[in-house]
Amino acid sequence: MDFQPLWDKIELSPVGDFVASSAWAFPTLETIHVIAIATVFGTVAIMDLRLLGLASSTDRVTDLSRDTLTWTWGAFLLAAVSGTLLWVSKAHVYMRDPWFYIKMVLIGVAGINMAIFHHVTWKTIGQWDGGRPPQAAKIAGLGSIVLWIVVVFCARVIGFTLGVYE
Amino acid sequence: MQFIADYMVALSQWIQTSTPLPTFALWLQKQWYSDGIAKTPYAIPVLQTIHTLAVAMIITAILMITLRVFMVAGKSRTLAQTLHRFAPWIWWCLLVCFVTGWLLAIGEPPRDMTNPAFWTKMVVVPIAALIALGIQTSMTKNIVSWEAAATHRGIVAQVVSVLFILLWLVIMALGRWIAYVPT
Repeated sequence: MDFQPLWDKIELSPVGDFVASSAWAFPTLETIHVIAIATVFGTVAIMDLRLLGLASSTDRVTDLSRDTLTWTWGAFLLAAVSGTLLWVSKAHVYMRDPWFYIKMVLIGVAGINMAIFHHVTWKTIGQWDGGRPPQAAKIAGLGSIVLWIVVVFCARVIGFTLGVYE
Repeated sequence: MQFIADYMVALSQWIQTSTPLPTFALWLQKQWYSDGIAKTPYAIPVLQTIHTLAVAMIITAILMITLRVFMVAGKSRTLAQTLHRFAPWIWWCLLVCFVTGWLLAIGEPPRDMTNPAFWTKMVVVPIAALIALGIQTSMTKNIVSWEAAATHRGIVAQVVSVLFILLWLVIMALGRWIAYVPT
């Protein structure tokens, strides 16, 4: 199925056209996107390092979760909105770049990892809240931090490879 | 926003006409170590990734201290404990940023050495580091006052925290705009 007409239509929409033609829009949105992703990574890393027993070891996991999770989701929403606006301006180019697909899949896997942690491993939180997390929590923490590091790497590589697919 | 554009153009012209930086950038680009970084596959994106992740840890560490000053996060910790947990991250990650940032500048001399956003960032980052040192020293020496300010929502502590976080957002913006400003 040829999606090219769809990508063209998205790019030629008022929003796509504005982001592509304005001298300020794309770099400003990218700046917001980077700040948002940095906040996602930083807040996720605080939790992950606690789950791995590498930092905040004396803090209760529930306290850290309460301190960080709102910021993680808020920043993720901001990253998703700014990222979508960036994508709209060059949809057909992003859809040709394999690094874009890798990034999206890894974000999906990171989401599944988080969902499993919060719906399965979290059920026993009462037993290890202030102490050493179980193996499942450590695996979730390791998976999360590795996935987000690779997501940021993919994002950087997209910046280098995008020109190839123009 | 126009004054930012005017400032960047003026600084770029000054760098080009009144400093040896364009010649230096061309000389640096021919050195084996610059060439080595530029030609090593994925060296630049890997360095940029490490740089970005280190910046992420700095901004989040500052955010967590700020949220504690505002008493909206870290309430189970004292301010001293929050500072003890997050301040070292700021300094270690700043060191990582310094090393990776200069490796990137050496690897891409024309992109950075004549870039007004890059040199503005190079002025603002040491100022931000000095302010961070000042805030940390003040917090360490007057931790009781800072804790009281946090508890009673002292306006000075809150304003200082917010301005400092805004300064780091400006630094992040400058970092991203290196790719876009005229050189």
